[in-house]
Amino acid sequence: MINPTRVFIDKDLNLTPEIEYLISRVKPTPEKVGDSRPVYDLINQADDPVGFAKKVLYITSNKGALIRQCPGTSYYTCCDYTILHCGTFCTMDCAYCILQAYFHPPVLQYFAGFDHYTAALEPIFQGNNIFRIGTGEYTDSLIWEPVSLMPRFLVEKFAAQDRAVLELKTKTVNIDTLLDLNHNRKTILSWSVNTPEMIASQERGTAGLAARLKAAAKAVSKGFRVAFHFDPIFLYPGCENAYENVIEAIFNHVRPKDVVWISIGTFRFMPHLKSIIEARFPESTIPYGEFITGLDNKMRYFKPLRIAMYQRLAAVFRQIAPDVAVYFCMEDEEVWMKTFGFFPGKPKALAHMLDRAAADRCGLDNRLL
Amino acid sequence: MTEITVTDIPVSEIDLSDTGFRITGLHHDIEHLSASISQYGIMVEPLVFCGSDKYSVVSGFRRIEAARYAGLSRITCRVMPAGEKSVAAMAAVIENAFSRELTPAELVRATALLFRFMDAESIAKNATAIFNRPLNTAYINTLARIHAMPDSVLDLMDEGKISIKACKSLVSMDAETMTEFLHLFSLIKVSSGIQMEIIAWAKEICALEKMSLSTLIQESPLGGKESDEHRDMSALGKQFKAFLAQRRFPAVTAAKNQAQEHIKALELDSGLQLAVPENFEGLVYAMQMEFKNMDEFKTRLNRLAQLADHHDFKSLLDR
Repeated sequence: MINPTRVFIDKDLNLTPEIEYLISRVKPTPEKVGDSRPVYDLINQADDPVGFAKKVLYITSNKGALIRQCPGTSYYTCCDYTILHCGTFCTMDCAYCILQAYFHPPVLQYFAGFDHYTAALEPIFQGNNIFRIGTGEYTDSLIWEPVSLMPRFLVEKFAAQDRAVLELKTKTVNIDTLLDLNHNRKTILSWSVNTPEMIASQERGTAGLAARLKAAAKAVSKGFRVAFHFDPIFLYPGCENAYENVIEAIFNHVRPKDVVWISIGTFRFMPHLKSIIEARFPESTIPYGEFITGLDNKMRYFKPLRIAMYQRLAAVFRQIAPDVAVYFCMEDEEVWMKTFGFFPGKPKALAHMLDRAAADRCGLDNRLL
Repeated sequence: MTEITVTDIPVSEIDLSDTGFRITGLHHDIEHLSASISQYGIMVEPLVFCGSDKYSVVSGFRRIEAARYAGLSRITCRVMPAGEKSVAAMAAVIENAFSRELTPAELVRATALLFRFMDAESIAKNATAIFNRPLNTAYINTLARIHAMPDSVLDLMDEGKISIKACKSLVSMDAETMTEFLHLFSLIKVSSGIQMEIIAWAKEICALEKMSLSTLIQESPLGGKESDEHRDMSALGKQFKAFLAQRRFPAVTAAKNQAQEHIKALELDSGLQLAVPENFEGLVYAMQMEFKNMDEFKTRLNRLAQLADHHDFKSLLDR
């Protein structure tokens, strides 16, 4: 829940209905600032800047690019996702969250300005390519839903075209204000999933697995397409059965044809996240897996262990949902081949596979494939 | 400036048991120094502090011990007047720090000595003039926390068995674990980098397996061993590190060992070197061939060609 103790707003930001709505939904009166410095200084002086920043909301505009490409690395295969950069950081508190280490300091920012979004999206909506666009890279897409008109605005915006899908990725169940919108299947509501024990021990403040799946079923009942992300997968005693149970639970709630895609990826992290996890989550042992330094300099589980886990999950997907596009986020040829028996190795091949899934499930213009 | 006089003092009037200003370790062989003093005298006069009935040593503990060992009855000393203990404390550090680099243990003792008279900010502000090097407040506080660890930590530092960096990672641990780690480092001798690896891996194994460090040590090659200077502590350190690596990274260790066996079975001559992908993450193997002449080139090329049918070579690549 967005429940800040301090709210800051850029003094030159116009009080549009979008911002007035947001301000009306958060308790503290916004304090006007000339730039981000006072907000950064306030957060930096805290003993736990990461924890403290979850209680400080900064309403501002995005001074950089609203549309960005996912920062994949060259060695591992990326899905060429497009990011709509509408906010940063998160109010939930996951031990493994990269945002703890990614921003210096982390700031819960809301990037206002529907006009800017319209202008940025228009070329995509008028273009000749299919786009898969998400807002969940630097924030949880739907923590904003109870306090902001942004999710609604985006769902309706995307509903009016057939070149792009919007993916709203979340660990919440904040979908109520979206359910009755005319979404035209162009919004994919997606959930990061994990095993109940990992959610309970590593994901503070998130919805439980059952609640997430119930929300997914509710979304499907309103015609939304859904997606799931098994990322990060943790390797621990009994994890294979536990993740298989999650797959089964998903398909007890939704049909394979309602699912646009499912990504899988084992836990990987920038090395300096380890000390942050140790300091903020002293009971967590997730940084103590059998990790090696990957070719992107991130810590990754030893490859044979990753492959063994992926093979178990792939077998279940093949059995329960053979027509759903299951893909890896950032894995290499060996992992693809040993798990799925094929490798989308050509440039944009994985992107094409997912574009096709989006076109099929969400009614995008097939001629653009 | 403190007025210092140079005076001949009876050795019996110097209280060597008062180690309040001592920053050097206790365990030093003084025979060589004693022989030198017998032959050439004391080159630099020790610095003493005028106490109520005896002199306290500020700097020169070893020189005075050695002089006493050599049988000298009087020593020429520089004498500081009574009542200036804070100045004496600074002098104790300055005398050592400007004649050579302080050892880690001396740095810790020196900081603790100064802490009796000033706070971390003041020490940091004057560090270059006192320690002959800059020290920041956070580091000074860390040194003070290390000094507050069990006494054995300074002995281990004096023996070069534990580094400041390693101590820094121990100070935030609970007392029992800290004591166990100090016991562990009394049994082995490894470099600072390996000390850090050992601390990290042991801590992580204990967290993963929900066990105490003492149990882990018991299960290791060090189990049941007490500190014994006649043992090869470096070899024990290597054994213990290998034990931890195997326990902490069982799959990686097994894969590396297996790869080594395969490579060994290839019986490559010294001019051919095969490298597997680092951590088996990438896909690219590398073969380096060296040769001095055409014959050697042809021989090794032949050998390379034969590898394609070698069972172990196939096993190595078929992972």
